[in-house]
Amino acid sequence: MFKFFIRFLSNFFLLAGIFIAHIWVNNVLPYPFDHINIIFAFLFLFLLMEKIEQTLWYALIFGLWLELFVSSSFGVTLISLYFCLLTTVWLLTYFLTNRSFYIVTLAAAASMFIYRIYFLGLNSIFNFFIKKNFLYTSRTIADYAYEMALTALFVMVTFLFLSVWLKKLNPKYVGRI
Amino acid sequence: MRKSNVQKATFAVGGIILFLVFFNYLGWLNFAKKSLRQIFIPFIRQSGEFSVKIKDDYEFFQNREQFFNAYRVAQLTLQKRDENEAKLKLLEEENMELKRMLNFKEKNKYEILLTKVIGNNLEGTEKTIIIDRGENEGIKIGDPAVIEEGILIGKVIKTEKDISIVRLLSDNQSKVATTIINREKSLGVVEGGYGLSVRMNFIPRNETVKIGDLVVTSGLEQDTPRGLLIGKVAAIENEAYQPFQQAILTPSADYTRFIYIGIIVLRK
Repeated sequence: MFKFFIRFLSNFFLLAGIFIAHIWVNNVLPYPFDHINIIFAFLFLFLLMEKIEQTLWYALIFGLWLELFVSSSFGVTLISLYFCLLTTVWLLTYFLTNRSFYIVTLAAAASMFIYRIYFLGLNSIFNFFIKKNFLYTSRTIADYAYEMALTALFVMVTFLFLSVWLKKLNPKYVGRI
Repeated sequence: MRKSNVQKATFAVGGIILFLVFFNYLGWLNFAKKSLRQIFIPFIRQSGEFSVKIKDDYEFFQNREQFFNAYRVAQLTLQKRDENEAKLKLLEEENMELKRMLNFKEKNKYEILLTKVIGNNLEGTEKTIIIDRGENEGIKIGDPAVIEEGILIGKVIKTEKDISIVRLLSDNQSKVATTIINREKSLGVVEGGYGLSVRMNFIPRNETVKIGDLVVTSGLEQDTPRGLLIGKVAAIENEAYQPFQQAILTPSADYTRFIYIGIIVLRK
């Protein structure tokens, strides 16, 4: 019981810490660095560590927290995050199986791209049935491109940094597992 | 074994998401959402205030000369403003008198609701801000957001019971019907998404637009009164091969530093 409680608390503080980091990056960093999606980057890194079940539960909690402070209709962020992670798992299992830093960067960019595709699709559906507050312009795409590039770069830097300590991220250990 | 665990998690999370979306549209999550929001609002507010403070600290002068020049310009502007204010008051009185004589009745009466900015929306690709008032105070989608009682900064795009989200004019999805205060009263649409500046598109090519002309809301949109200031014309692009001319505007407000803003709501 005590162990469960400690695990619950440590998980809660980890998630809250990442969420607060996301808030600060969004509010404080200058344009275009405020586009870095910290939550997405961390979920992607958890997937790389092969913690799929945990990542899905984390995505549920992050999605729910994000829904409280975004302009899109309730459910759009949550559902697109969930489906994007499932697609990313499939992508990492069958296609981008290498764990070198450039493949990881490419996978992060691809995953972000998939997330935005789901997001735009779901937004269109929700806006069609519920309310219209979303307009696509060429500049929306430019913003998404910034987000994709900067988040992928952030993942790359964090991956390189973490791979020094975490065996699962270091390609040197792959043969020994 | 591991595969079956992943499958279990996938179905469990998917099922919970479906229930959450369904319950939300039934309104059963309102209390939980409000309570959860209260946990994170202080962090968003702190980061927002910190961001405004940093931007304030960046505003400095390189030398004494520059400081005095800026001071002189500010003094002259203030003098001019006082003159204009006096003229405006006289015109206002005259206007009221004329309206009274004509037995004119205003159709819509607006009032400004003061709100505090909590911080930026957490969707990093949008330029939107969260404010601390919502549907409970009568705010609805489409209400204009202003500062200093007359400078338009955006519009409300989402309302909840206790908070609302305002899309700033600089956001790439923002569009507002406007008019230039020139001889022809040129109409157009102000759009964001160009960094710090905003653009006015669809101005007829044969109309004369000058640098320094003021741009205000045209009043052609529902819930947006006429005459809310947006900015000044800084440059004009009038190409022979295009059907309309464009004006690049210098906004009258800095869209990155708000602590309090007003929402124009229809008085009941």
